Amino acid sequence: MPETPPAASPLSDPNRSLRLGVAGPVGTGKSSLIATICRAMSGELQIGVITNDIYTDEDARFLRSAGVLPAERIRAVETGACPHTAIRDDVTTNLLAVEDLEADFAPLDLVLVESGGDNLTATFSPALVDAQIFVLDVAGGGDVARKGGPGIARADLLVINKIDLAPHVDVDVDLMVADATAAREGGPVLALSRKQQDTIDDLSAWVRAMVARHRAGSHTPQDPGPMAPHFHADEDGGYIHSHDEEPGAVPHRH
Amino acid sequence: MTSSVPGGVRAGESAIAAFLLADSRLPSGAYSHSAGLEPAVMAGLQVDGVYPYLISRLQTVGRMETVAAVLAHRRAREICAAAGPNDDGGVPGFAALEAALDARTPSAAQRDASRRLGRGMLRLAATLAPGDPAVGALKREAPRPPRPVALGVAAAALGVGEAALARLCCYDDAQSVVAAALKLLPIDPMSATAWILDAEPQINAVADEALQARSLEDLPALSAPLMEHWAEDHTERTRRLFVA
Repeated sequence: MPETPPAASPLSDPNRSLRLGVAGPVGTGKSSLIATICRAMSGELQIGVITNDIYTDEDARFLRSAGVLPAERIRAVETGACPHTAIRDDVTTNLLAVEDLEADFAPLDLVLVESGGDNLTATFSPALVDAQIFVLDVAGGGDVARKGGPGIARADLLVINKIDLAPHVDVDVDLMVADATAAREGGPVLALSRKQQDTIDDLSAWVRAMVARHRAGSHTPQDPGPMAPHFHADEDGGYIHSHDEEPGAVPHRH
Repeated sequence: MTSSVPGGVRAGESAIAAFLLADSRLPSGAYSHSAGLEPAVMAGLQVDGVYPYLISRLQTVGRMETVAAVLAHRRAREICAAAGPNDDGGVPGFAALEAALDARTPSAAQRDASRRLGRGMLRLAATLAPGDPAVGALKREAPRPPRPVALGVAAAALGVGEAALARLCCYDDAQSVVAAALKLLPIDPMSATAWILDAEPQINAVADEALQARSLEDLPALSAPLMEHWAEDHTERTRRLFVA
């Protein structure tokens, strides 16, 4: 891995927080996970939150009412019924909101950006966030992790949420974690329940380490999607390759 | 006279840049805006009201914003010209233009919406034309510019001529109405697209009138009180797709 910090080193702007995206399908517990991080870490980190509600400001209100952060540090962004666009192909609205939050409450250590619940293919652009968590839950089915997708396979962290519900929905958590770990080729997977303190401690430790790597300039944002392995024709018949092994690869023509 | 090149574009102007600025896929945050249509729909506007709404908006906000865009474009060209900007009371500076637009926009919600769009456009212009002196001047003089000011400066920086810009300013607003209508009301997308062409004579008239503007004296002050009222109502809503 390259040891040099990225060109836009976070150290060059003292107000530049770690921008951490939280994506995943509707109802998997993204807001709850953000509330958990805020509750566990607001004593050690200065935190702000941007929510991308699809139709309401329900998520922002949930977080404000949870009392885990001062209400003014939680802002909602409207996405014009395009939650996928807002975190991926046109991040302008979110980026302006993040920068305003960083400016108004400088210096923030961490800004959490919650995507509007979308499908399994929605991932954040590295133009918006430095790192991202993809959230699944056991109630969505034990097989979802095995199905994979850019967020499941390549987000910086995969969280399998609500593991306290597993006995009630006939899901084997250990198997689901093993499936997810295989789909991620060994990438980090965290089984979480907001009712089990040891899992919250694991989540806090991951966030803490990510903030430290960001500050040190040793974290390079990765794009989890959407490029899938694809085929190139050539005179010898062609070959299949994937861009996964090229973290520094630039967009290119085929 | 300026010469023409194939495609009907004047020499020194970029047709591709004009297409780019008119494209809804342009990453400047426009998808989160409905040009005031969502608040209108929530106040009871139905399918048969969308085209009249589009025209009403064109004849009020549209006329004002198109003049502002043209004046911003001229200011940008003055800044980039060898002689530098001319403060003879003709083409206004960006801060004066911004203040004049604010004075003609009584709704705080509409001023805020315009600024959100303007900031997105300015960010894009600063990325696409980082060394442009007018883009730099706009960042310094009006860092949160209203939409038409940022659009005028972006167009000048990318080589879009003022005649194309004037039509673009109207077209962009009309398309925001139509695109939002498809998400808010039961409308056949192809029928709604036809409304843009139906509005062409009025778009051309508004654009041509705007091109005659010479100073802030020519910036119309046209009020649409119902739209302003709806825009204000929208800021307190908890269930909405669009910011404005």
